[in-house]
Amino acid sequence: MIYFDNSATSFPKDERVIRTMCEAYSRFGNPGRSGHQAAMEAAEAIFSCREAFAQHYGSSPDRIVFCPSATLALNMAIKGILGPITQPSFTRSMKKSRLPKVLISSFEHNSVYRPLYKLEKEGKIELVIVPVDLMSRENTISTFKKAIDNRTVLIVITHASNVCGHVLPITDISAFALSKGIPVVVDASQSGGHIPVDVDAVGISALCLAAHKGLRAPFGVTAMVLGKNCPKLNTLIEGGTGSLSLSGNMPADLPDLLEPGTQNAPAIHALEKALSYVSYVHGRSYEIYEFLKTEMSKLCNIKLYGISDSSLPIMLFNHTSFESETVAAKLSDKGICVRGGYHCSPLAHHALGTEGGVRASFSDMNTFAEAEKFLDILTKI
Amino acid sequence: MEKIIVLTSLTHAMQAERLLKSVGICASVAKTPATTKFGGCGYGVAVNIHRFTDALGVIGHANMQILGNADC
Repeated sequence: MIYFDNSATSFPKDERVIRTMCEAYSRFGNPGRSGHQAAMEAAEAIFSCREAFAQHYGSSPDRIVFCPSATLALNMAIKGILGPITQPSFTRSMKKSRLPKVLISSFEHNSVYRPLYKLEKEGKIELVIVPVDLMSRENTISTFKKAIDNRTVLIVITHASNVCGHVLPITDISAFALSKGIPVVVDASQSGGHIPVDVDAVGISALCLAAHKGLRAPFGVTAMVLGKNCPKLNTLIEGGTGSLSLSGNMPADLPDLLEPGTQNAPAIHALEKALSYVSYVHGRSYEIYEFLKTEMSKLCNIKLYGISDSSLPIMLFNHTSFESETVAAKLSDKGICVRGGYHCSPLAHHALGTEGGVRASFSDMNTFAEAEKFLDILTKI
Repeated sequence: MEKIIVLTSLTHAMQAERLLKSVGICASVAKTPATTKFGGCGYGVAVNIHRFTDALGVIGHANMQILGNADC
């Protein structure tokens, strides 16, 4: 099998990481509920992971919030920040021209677009989709700056597109937004493990990672890194935290405020292990990406999309004779794993002018032999 | 003899433990009595009674909310 679908999830996972998770099952009790050895071992492991993420991403341990997925993290951040603004009493009968405004880029995944689309449909916000210029970083920054006005209450932006890999200038946009007092939520689902981010230095309010992708961590857990400028988040879900339990309110302090329920302690323990193996040196994945970009651009029946100077090793293409899912299926029949369709990002496809596409996304586990075989099979479709 | 400085979360208790150890005060995370005085279940750091005042100062300086103290 040739696995070129690392944007969906990294494969294979690092054996050391999986082993760490499995071993934890024989040691860990429920963290943060009891004071016995098994519970405290799990609690120590979780805190250690918080410390590791805080150091790695420029935050503090209590501002590392563990969630089951980046989608939930994004929903928590977006709805947590917008909370009071989206109450019916606040926006009832408000004209659209007076609604609070939320800006997103034209490359956002549905985990950002759908929550905001729903709020817009309910008449609670005005959603503004800011076009990204693949060819000019300065134009993207300028367009965002021009879109910000006194009604802007939130910016949500992906660090890198899951469709074509284009890296957006979040540092500049966040810095400008910070100067205007506007919180910025960054979807780092694709960029985690590829591009380092210092949350507090950049002024990001919430950085939402998808640990099972570039960080090569297990499914089912991820970290949301909150910046020191992050507004107090309204909770999306409430439940037991093992602390201040006599109160009907969720604890006011982080991370307990946002972590009701039992934490996935073995996976969090493995997450720290995965983080320790992250290297930001561009490896074989980028070399393979550049190689295939060059070779595929020579093929007359293949069209590439979304190519830019700043990109993760993610490639979007279409075959002139076959629809994307058909190409993906044909490649799958030959043992090559890619993803066809819209990649849960209709906005990105609309921005790129595609009606779906085939996405190949590489990791350092891939080889040039695999890339050559992929080319050989592609040319024979 | 030890006293527990009661904090608002397990995370804060662990942060406090590390902080106290870094300034030479022996500390360990402890489960607190589940009483109404502390709002129910919770965690804190246990320190020797002779270092209790110093520990309070260190934790307070770190802006961690202290809910109270309890005997071990």
